[in-house]
Amino acid sequence: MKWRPQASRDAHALARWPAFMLLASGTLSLGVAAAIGGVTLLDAVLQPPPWPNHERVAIYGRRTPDDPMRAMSPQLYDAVGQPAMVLSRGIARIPETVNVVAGRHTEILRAQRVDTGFLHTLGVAPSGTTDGGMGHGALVSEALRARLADIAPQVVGQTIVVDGSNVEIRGVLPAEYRFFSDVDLLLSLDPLNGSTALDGNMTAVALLSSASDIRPFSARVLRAARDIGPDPHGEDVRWSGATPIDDLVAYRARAPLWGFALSGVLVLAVAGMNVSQLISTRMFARIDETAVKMVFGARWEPWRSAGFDALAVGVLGFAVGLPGGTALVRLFKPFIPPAWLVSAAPMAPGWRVLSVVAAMTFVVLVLAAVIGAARVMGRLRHRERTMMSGAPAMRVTTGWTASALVLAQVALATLLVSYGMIAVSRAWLLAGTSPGFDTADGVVVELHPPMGAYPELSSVVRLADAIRSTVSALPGVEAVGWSSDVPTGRGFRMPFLRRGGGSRFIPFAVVSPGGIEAMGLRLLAGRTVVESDGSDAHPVAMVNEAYVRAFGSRGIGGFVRPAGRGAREARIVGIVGNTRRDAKGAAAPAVYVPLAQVDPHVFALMRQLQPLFVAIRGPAAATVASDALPSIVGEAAPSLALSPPVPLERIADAPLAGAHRDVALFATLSGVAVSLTAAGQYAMHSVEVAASRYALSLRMALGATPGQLLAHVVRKAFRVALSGIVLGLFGTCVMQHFSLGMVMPAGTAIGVSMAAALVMVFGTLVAVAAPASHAAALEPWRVLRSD
Amino acid sequence: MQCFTHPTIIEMRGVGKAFPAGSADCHVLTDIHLNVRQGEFVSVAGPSGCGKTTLLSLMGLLDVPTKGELRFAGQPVQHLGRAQRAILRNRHIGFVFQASNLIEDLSVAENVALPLSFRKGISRHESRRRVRDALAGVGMAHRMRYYPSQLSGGQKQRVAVARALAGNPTILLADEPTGNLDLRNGEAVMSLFSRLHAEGRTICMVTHDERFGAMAERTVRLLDGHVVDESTHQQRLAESESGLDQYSLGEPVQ
Ligand SMILES: Nc1ncnc2c1ncn2[C@@H]1O[C@H](COP(=O)(O)OP(=O)(O)OP(=O)(O)O)[C@@H](O)[C@H]1O
Ligand SMILES: [Mg+2]
Repeated sequence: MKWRPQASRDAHALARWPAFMLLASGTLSLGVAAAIGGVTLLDAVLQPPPWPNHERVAIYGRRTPDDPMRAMSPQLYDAVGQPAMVLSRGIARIPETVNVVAGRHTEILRAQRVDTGFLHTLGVAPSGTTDGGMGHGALVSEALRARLADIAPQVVGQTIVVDGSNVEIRGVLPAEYRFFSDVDLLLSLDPLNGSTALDGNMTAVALLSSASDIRPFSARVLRAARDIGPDPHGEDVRWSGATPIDDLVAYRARAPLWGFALSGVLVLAVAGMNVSQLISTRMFARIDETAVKMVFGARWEPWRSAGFDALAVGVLGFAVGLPGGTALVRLFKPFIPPAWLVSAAPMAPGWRVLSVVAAMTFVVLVLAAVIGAARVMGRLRHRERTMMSGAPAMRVTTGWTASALVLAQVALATLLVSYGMIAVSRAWLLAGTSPGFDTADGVVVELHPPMGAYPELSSVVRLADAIRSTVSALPGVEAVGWSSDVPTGRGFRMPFLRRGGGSRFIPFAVVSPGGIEAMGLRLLAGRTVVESDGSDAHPVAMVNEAYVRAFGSRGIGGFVRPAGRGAREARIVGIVGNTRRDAKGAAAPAVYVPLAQVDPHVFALMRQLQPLFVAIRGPAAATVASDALPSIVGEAAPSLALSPPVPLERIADAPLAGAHRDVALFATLSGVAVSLTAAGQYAMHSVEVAASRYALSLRMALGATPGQLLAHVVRKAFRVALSGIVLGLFGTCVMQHFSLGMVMPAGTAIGVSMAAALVMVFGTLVAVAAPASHAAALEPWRVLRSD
Repeated sequence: MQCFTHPTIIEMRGVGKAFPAGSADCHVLTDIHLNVRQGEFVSVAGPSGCGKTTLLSLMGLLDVPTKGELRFAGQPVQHLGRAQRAILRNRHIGFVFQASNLIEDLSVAENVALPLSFRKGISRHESRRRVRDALAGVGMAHRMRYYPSQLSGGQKQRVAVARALAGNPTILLADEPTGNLDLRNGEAVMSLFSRLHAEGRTICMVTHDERFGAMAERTVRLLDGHVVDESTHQQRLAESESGLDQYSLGEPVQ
């Protein structure tokens, strides 16, 4: 075989078609990138759970009807005990915020306290430990180890200061270790003492002797829960039991990501259709040459030539698509709720993903080449037939396959663009809503006074007062204060009694004097928290407008009533404006209580779950926060870590982040879809124009003006495109009707549809411009020389 | 319908046509002087490659000469743009090609209506009437709904003639209209042309076939890019002693 010179001839021939190579491999690389992106995300959550014993591990405790995750309290944990079917068990607290000092570096980190049985039950073995356990030390995540290694290479054995106490690093967690959320370190949980309200929200795991023990074990948990009775929040015990840990992983992860991976593969398929059309275009353009070669014995010429094109396009497209896919994974990763992620290992396309996508690309390209070659063969055979019958007639319509492919592409792209427009309109509407507070000249800094150094509420109050008075004396500072939450925060929620009965969990924050002013909340009525709202004074509270409406409150002079047993009610002294808290721009009812007056138990719970914030307002706020504040805090509280200052503008935009990401995601997806579709349309119509050159010049000879010919091709393109657009919009309507995906904001349906249709019309115009002008530029005398 | 009353429909004065071929141009037509008057039936003859088709493409305003003057019904056309030439073609020129060039995806009636569809101001009804008349004129009215693939070669060519006539052109141009047909079908088309000529149509036809060429009123012979001989029917009759004219119209010769 002399395939080598043949291949180099083919390569040269290809080099003479740079536009073809650019378009075909560009189009394919988009598909490859989308497929890699989708499949990688799927692969990331389909990783085996990073707990070797996962098949026999159950999570047990209470749960609420709409949340499969279970919460455990120390009493229930003790009451369930360790029956024979349980080989080992362990318990962990919810991750908490801690101050960590390593060397001269201070940082706020996330830590989780676990008992000695916890990792053992999961089967997780940290590395670097001498005895496999953590004792009273800490285990660090692989990510934190890498950071600490920059400070001192030997991480295990290093002593760090966690919330004021020295802790030795005893080992490093496996890179993939993750227990439903990312934490930087595991700390040992002191023997259960029921010390804080946080203990009601622990997570208990049990290693069963066999997976089939789950039912009897679950029944036992339920019995124990019944015996104890309802917890302080009055939660239902009926939902108590045990759930296999694998079910908790599967429940959250799979369905949406399969859809996403499928869309990625679909985009690859759409790209493949385009490659097929492009290969046909190139082959139709060389059809005479091919016919001659076949006459001289090269029977497989169309197949060989299509195969070579597909191979070249495949290699180039994959090479470009690979980094594209990695970039897409990086872009899409923030969309994956952390709860879906099983493993902490970094998300990147591994060899498994790459081989799957490579195989799919191969299949798609083989199909593309076969379809392309078959179409050309069909055309050649047709030519032969009509040649025999004397006067050849001209076939001008594109095969229905090509039209159907383009129609499907247009419909799919329209659907995606519609969703893109929905995302845009939502972001637009949201950006139009006011954040509800004054964002100019304000910054917040996060800090976390540790329990050990500041065990009492009063000590935190003293610290807050000290820092506040020093900072407020600085020039350029108009207001300074503490708060447990930022104005847009969704952090801590507490149940409050409604006037008509029943309770509702709503955002709850503590504020020091100056806090409301520093955060820029609008005072609508009454007063803000002042110095005299101390621990001995009458309990007071501030609420927002939404609270007054939702709770049927009297407003100033009314009372807020926490739902917990023995909680004190507080008189409403001030009403502030609503703030934009979520991605819908909806205002949630919120309650603010003076720091000095908060229930100490509640505060203990709050401060473990989340940090506190110092808000500073004034022309010098930013510089004070970055220059003066660290030394002021350092003097008052040596081991307290400070986060970098965050401007209030950024805080105000935080609820928009989701909407912005949606826009980014759908802009990417629909951008890819529209450009692929445009490429598909371009390919189809240039094939059509190339294949019906004679018919088009006949029309011209018969008196069609160039403009009429242009319109003829454009009209044909729009006949397919408009059907696709209508189909796509119909699909959007159906999906909206069943509330699939993002819901269209009210009153935007027509705008969204029009915008999506416009984008598609524009895409079609761009795609058909070149083929249509080629048609218009045809010379009418060609018709005299047709064969 | 506007009708040209100018006695000379096509007027060529020193017309030349060169195609760029490599470094030097290929001069296909060098110096053509030719008139086609209203009501004439002219045939163009000459050896293969002498430029007959090229000449016809200039007459039909499909292409423009590279030199000389070309007038259509007295109006100089060599400087007209593509769109203007298209409009003139549509109004005044009917084409019949060697390959009948019907569009396969259109029915016979739609094929015939094609030139009318490019013309503004023709109602649907009017267009349908003209198509019916044109097809009836070539004896193809019963095949209106057929598709080209369902027709014989001769039938296709008759449909092509109907298409050329549907727009009621000033002149009918044909490039070897019998080239792809057998003798019998060729003769049928030729008798159609004779009848059209008798009805007063102006026809200019390129043909290889001396017998068919002889049916024209006047024959123009091309050689090396210029006209070498123009003879009328009468002259040819006088000269003829051979069997050129021995066959008569409509009678197939075995
Ligand atoms: N577009 C073109 N570019 C270059 N040369 C051309 C072009 N069209 C025609 N020619 C050349 O012009 C010459 C005349 O061609 P034309 O088709 O007019 O001949 P013809 O007399 O019709 O021949 P035949 O009887 O074989 O149909 C030929 O040599 C041909 O190669
Ligand atoms: Mg010719």
